[in-house]
Amino acid sequence: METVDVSAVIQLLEAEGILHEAGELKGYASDASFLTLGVPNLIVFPKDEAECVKLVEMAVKHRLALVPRGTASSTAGASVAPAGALLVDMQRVGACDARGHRRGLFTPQVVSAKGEPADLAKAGPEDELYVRVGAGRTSDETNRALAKAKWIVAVTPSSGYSTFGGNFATNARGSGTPAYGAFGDAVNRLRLVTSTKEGAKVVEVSEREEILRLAGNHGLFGLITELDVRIAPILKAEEMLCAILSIESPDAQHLGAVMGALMKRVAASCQYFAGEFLFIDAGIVRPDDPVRNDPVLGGYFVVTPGVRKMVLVYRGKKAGMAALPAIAAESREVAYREITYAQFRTMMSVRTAATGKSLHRVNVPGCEDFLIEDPSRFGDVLAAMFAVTAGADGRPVGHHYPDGVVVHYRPQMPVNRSGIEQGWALNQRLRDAVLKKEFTVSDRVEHGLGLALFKDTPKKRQDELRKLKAKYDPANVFCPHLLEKGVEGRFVGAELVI
Amino acid sequence: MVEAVLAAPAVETPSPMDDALRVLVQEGCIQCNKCTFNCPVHRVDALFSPRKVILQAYLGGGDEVNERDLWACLTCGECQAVCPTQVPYPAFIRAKREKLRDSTERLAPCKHGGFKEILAEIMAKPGLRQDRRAWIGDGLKVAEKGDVIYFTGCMPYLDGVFSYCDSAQIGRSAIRLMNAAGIVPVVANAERCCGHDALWNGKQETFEKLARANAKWILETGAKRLVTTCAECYSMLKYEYPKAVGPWPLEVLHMSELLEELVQQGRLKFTKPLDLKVTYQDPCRLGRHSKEYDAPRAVLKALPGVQFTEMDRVRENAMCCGVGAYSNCDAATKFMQQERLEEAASKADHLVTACPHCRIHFSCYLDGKPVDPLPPLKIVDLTVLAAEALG
Repeated sequence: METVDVSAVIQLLEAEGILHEAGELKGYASDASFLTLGVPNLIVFPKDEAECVKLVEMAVKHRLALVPRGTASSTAGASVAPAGALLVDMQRVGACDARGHRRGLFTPQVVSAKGEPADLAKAGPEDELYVRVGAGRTSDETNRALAKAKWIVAVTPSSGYSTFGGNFATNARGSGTPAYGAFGDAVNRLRLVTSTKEGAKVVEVSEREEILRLAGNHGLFGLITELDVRIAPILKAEEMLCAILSIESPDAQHLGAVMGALMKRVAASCQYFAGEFLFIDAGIVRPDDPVRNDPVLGGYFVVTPGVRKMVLVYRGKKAGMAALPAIAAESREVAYREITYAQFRTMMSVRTAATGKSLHRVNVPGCEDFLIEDPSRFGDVLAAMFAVTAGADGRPVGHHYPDGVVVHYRPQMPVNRSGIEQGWALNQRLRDAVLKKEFTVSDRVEHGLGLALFKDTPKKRQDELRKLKAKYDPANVFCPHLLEKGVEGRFVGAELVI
Repeated sequence: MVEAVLAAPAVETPSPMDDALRVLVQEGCIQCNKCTFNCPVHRVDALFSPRKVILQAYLGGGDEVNERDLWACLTCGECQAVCPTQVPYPAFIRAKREKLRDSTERLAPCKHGGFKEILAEIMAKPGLRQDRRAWIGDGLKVAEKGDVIYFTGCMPYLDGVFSYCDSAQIGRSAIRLMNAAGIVPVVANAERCCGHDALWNGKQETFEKLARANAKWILETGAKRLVTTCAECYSMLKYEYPKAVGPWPLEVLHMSELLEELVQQGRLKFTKPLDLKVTYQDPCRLGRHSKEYDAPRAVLKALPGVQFTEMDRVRENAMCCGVGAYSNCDAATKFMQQERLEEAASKADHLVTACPHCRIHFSCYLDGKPVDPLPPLKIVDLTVLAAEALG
């Protein structure tokens, strides 16, 4: 908003009846990273596509920069607005009634691959079905709505509370990815409000290759308002296999080598929907957490000082997982146990919280999301990682996908500037230690590049992004800063607010 | 000592920060926004966001909660129930209200003319004389001394304001049920407000005065058990009083817990078929705050002729009745109540609660002008329903 002052924009918003909030909005200064680009002074809350169109028209006419934001549960920084930009909260779009109120319960429309209405009650497990949902809806809400029919969203990030629009913007991965790919692979159609030189245009995209190009857009191309998202039947208990594989060792390199080799064999021999791992330490759940008393799971939370304990859980069809017990049995150090789906979900809850669980601390991202393409290098990476993070709070967790092992780790630091800066510095050391070609490691594969889009995207993808930008946003109103050099550098350091 | 589920656990003191922020950071918010998505206030007011308040508190050192955010929170605990790291947001708000209470313009957010707040302040005074048993009526037995106390809470005073509810009926039903099982409860004129609203609205001092006054007469009776029909009183007497007044050697029961026990022991038999379709509203203070979900359901299932159907959002995911500690009631409240009552009406023709305040707030809504048309739905207290089934 370098050409229009805030009060003028507020007048425009009020004239259009679009909900907004102005002031020193520290509550919207960051995403899940706790790091800031600056404190925004204006945020808008469109309630539907029509208001999105008005916003884009306004932005084109008055040369405003728009930064779309779902739940901002990402850590890539793309949903954080730089000074002068207008933050657009998309959580209500397609997710509320005419009054603008979100309903806690809703019934999603189910459609076929051709976009025709489908009846879930008559659907079979092989049917390719989608839910037509607003961009502001979440997997959690949709899964609750689909539960009675025994279906779920096919690709659900650990943050099942992130919006579908946000999942598409980061091309997030998660539960279901081993079978259905990244979130973009699970989208069959989308609507977005784009810009023209003169104003706004609503575009509907259903061509597969174009959808895949747009996935991971980080808000560059428009305001996504609606998507067709793949759903999948929930496996019956008798069809499903859930298992825990655990290992303990004082030697991180050895532990990782054993588990990496195991994961490589699993990827080659098994078909699964989810493969998740976590390192257990004394602080991963509270002392009074009921999971500690669970007759089956409780034992996994008993830790021996000086010994690292890794737990790897899988969920899949029994038929596709038939080789798993034998693979686990190949290593005498690995303990294998089959568990129920409810127990699997309990472990997933622990896993979701584990990146941020530490008393008196906040988690500081920065090097929290990297992919090891060759799992046999898992031990080398862990050894390097633990050497850097020795003495720091926090623990690695992650996913085993068919294309490699994704590791998440965030140091947890006191809530003050010094603590967070120390966390950031630790992350930089971690980057130097693990982001190495010989380790087959690549950065920010799961949470998206966001502010590092310019710096870390291969040139081919950068060129593609620029072409798409010209096609969908010729007025250059959506996140223009993301394709600038040096944006990432402004994410921390001089602009750090705390 | 028994710890309230939603209260912050005692932990070491970190670097200098205010009490509220200390409560907040002890679990470590991961800024995921799940709290906000599940917050019933946020759903009708997009500007209200617990996650936003938390980030403001972090970035601003804890002093950045505006008055709207401070008082709009229902402290219902839905946010904490879904939080991956169990950030105690209600406890944070409670501490914040205590800290900012005197500096906010709205010194008395209590609705209904400040009735509840004034009542608590009066009852916190020494030398108070009350006739708290006038509502009991003939045929019901109560005692001055005994093993079981029936703590009525503010129920005897409610009918003076909420005339559409007949709250005293809950008390009469409770005594009738206990008498039927051979229990003659102590109902004391010395009883004071439990202090729930004072505590949750930032008046710690008033709460402590009330707790001490109540503890004095309660301990003097030598009773072994204390029963209440109010979810708010229950959460205070069971979890907060031991922290406020020290040793607390008596067992605190919600009436639903006593009824479940009496039925199991064969001391109470429900013989009159009621022929009702009911669903159940988990009160925040009984459910998420105290983790008592099963006893009310067990009682409902023991009542002959009652067809019990769960709503879609129950137990820890139950939606609040829309008002917390009488600190707020506005258009947003009405939309929340409409949503919850629609959900109830889609399942049953009677919505049963186990807290007189849920009953008041829902009944208030139905007594006024609903936002949208609602199917006929009656709001009933669990204790009253159980007494009807005595025959």
